[in-house]
Amino acid sequence: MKTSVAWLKNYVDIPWEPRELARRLTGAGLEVEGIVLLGVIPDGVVVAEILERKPHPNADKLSVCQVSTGSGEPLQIVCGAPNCDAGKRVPLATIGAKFGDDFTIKKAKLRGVESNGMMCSAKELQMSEASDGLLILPADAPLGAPLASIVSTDAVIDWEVTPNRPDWLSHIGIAREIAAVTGAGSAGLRPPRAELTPAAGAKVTAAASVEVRDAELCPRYTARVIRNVKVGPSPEWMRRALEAVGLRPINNVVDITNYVMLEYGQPLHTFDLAELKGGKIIVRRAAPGETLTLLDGKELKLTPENLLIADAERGVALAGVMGGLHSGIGDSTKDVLLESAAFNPSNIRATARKHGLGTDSSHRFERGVSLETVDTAGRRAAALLCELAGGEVLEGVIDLYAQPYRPAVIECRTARINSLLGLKLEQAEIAGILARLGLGVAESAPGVLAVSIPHFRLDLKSEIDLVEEVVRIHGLDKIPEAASTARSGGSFRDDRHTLVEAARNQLVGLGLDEIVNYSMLPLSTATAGTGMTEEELVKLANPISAESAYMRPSLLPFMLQTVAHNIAHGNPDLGLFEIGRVFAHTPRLPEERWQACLAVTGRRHPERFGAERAETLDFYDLKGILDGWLADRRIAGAHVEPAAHPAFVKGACARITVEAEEVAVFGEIVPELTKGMRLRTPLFAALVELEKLAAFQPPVAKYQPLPQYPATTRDVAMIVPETLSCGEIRDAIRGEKCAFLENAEMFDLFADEKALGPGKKSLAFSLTYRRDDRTLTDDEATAAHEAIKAALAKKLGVTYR
Amino acid sequence: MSLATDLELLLAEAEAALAQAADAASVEAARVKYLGRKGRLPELMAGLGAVPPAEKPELGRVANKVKNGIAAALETATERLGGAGCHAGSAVDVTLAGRRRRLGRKHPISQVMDDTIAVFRRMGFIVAEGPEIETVYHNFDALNTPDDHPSREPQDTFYFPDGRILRTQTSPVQIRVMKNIKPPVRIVCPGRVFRRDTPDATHGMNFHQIEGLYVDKNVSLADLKGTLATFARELLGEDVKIRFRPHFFPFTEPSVECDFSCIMCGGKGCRVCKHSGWLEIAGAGMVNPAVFRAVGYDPEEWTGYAFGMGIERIAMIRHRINDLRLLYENNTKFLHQF
Repeated sequence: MKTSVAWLKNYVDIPWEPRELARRLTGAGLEVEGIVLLGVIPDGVVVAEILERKPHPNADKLSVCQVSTGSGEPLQIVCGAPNCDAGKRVPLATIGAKFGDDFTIKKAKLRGVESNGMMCSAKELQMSEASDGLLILPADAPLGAPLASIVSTDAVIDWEVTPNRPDWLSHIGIAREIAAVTGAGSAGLRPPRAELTPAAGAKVTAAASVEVRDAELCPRYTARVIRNVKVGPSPEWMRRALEAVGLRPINNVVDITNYVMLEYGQPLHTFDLAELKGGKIIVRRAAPGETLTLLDGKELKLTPENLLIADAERGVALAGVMGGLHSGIGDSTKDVLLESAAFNPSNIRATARKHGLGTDSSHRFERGVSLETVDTAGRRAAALLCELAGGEVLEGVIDLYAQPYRPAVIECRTARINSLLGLKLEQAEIAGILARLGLGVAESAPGVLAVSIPHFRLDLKSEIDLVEEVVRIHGLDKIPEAASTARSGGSFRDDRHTLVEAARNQLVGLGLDEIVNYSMLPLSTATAGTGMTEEELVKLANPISAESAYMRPSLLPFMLQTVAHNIAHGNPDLGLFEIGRVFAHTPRLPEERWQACLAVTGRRHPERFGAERAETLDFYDLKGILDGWLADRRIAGAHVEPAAHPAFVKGACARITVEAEEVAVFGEIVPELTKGMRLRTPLFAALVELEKLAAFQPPVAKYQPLPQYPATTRDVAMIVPETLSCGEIRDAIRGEKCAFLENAEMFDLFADEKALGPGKKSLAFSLTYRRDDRTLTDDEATAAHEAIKAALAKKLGVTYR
Repeated sequence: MSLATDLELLLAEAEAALAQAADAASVEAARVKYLGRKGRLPELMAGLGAVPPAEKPELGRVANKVKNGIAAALETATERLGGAGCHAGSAVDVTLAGRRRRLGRKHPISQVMDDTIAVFRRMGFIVAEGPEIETVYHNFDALNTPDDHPSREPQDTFYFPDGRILRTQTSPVQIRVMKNIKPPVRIVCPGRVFRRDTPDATHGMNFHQIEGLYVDKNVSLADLKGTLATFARELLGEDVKIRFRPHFFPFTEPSVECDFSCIMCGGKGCRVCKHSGWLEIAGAGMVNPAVFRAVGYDPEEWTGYAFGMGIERIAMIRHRINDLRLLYENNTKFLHQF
């Protein structure tokens, strides 16, 4: 909402310059989006006449002028403007005039010539955005007079009006706020003149009639008739006022309705009475399929949801939104029917949205206008039509007002206000603030104020609304900062952030960088490598575009994009992870769940040199990270086995299960998903079901006595079929449940067809034996070792070298 | 001579050689000579195949003893010569790159989120969570949002075909918690929220917020101010001040916008704060009695405050990041800066 400060001053005294005004009102909740100063004239700028102009001896573009301010010796001024011609009257900033904080006019030498002031352009006086020379004043401007006394200045402040304050969509509403903030209160307001002197005898009811068929959608409708209007340009002051706030003047009739709308916040509409069939206005819902051609020529197809202003035969305006083409004011219009009405906010919003029509009028009706102002504004516009367009108003007003406004009364308790605000205000102080806002205040019981709500403040509905009024006028800066009390909000066991926080810290500790991606992706990406069908995806009903129509079913697709982005930007060595929510409609999993995605590619030691520098990350680097993570979470009994997953290369994919629950799948990414990435090294990734992982909470660790007696180590090398996995052998060793076996570690692996024969490989294990009650004898160790070897030979068919 | 004797002799020879080794190079040469892949011990062990099976266990034992013995002699010699790290002759080039064990980096959004949570935890708040796919009831209705409020429009909010939405704020978590437990309540709710904005330098389809809620007896606006002032100082510095400006939110009343004094210019005015000296950080206010009624709390008995702020915005201010999209591009050259 743009207001002109000069316009506001018609209604209220403003003791502050525009920026200060903006600051004060911001403090009261009326935020400023911008201020445009239309003229800032410093003290010391006066009217002067150029007596003589000579070229500057040392500069082509400068002139040396002799300038008179009407008294005393002429002043020598060096000027760079092209139009500083002798005989012109111009503004002169004399020595000492201050332009802002950092520019004061001083006596100076300009390229060797003395200059005793500065002649000003419109731009320098902030009267226009640009100017191509000095501001030329009228030839009769009094010499020596302060410029401010003959040139009017203004400032336009653009306010950010919150939806609860439709009364601020008007100059009078803002003036009312200013009066509350300055302390002048409603007594300090000057409402505009609106005296009507109707022509004798002619009554409005004889010239027109109004029927409201749906009072719910139109709680008040007033009509006045003004005859013999002369359509023409508006007077200069009105044109300037409208232009200042960004409206283009059209003609006096249209301008008056716009002016009064900006004055009172009440949208008005004028009809050419001659065009209204039967001189009749009918406010009704549109018939299904009924059409209406708007002022702008657009034809609308209406439904009964839309409220229509019609004459006896057809629609003439879309109520509260826009007028129709055929009943508008034209150059030949003589008699005007002036509509001032109130419409149902939700209905207007729905209609405006449906037809894509947002107008100054619908904007105000959507937020709600005051029922009482309907008539006041209509009267004011009628008076202006008489005054500025030569019209004659007919006597009376047609006023269909089913349920006249009755002020609500809200009780508010002084103690409650103070307790909510953390203040200690006296009741009289509270009453004073409320009164300044134009509310009716009386004490109804000790400590209780009965506050009557005026028609223009329908946002005030309960005590809490009054608390807000009190604090915003009293000043939020006066609210103390109470010492923050560290009251406990509950058990830390209920703290929901620990899952994500712990996982994030662990993965960072394992050397991975965290990434954060968007939640939505296109269908092609959502199904690529995720194993999801379109039916399983969670789809938005109103995506911004197909590129972001589905909720991510996995963190993998964006992880792949992030890897590609980094490779394209010269970062080939990557260890990344993301933790986030993923979405899917599958019977196995919740619709929304936490997932972690890990990915590694590139070199193991890019910081090193030689052969080490050439080493690239492989499957076991990723597995090692996962092993480390599980170990850090003290998850015992994790089982790794081969798996199949559409994202991973067959034969280089595994799953991790804990207690038969799959918690992760990982492996090497298939080439189809890395196409175009220009990968120089294979990419490995893991998807971890974070909530499942977190479900395995190891019990609090119990101390195990440290070993007292030495261990004995025995190695064994065996030749096994290539298909037999290390895990199977290890499980078989452990499966012997040897009481002395402490650890079994594989330490060598090789396949050599010449030495071992086809389809064979050699594995070597180091087994550690120990007793916890005494030193294990050599014989005991040997016996245990041989027993295990014999068992392996029998169960797995391994042979020994 | 039996293999066993050969083995014993080998041990004696190795021990003698190592006892005389004068430098690390000789020790290494001895290691290669006796234990290396083509060394003397493996050479002797190759003869194991020809030995009658009955003698194999005994020979294995001897071989183990010899191997351990040579290893021990190597260790003794190395220690005698000044330890395992001693390089032959030349000093270590300490300026060569170390074999790095680097920690990863938390994303700047997570850093700000975790730091923020840490401050509020110290003030006794605990963290609550809710789903990203929300009901209209939790996101709007229970938060006193009028039926025809523009924020409900499909133009601003993402909807699903079943009528649910992507939460537009973390405030619905307040409702879930209050419906679940009796006061007092002291929670912060971090999370991802969604707005139907086309991504640009300051907007994204999703971003992160943290919400705070404190409900108790006699909670006042002054308590809110004190808490946010403490937060501002803890997160951004001891000199940071806050101010409240009136605002309007459906779920709080009185509602305020909370500004922090600009950390770039200390409040004097600069480009970052648009010469106002202040940065808009949080929306806050006293919980609207209508919200208490929606969750079954008696607004006469309980009062409370709520606040919410955008994590990306704080991260951008803290690190002077001028484009929100950088946070979602995940270029490691960017991520490693924080």
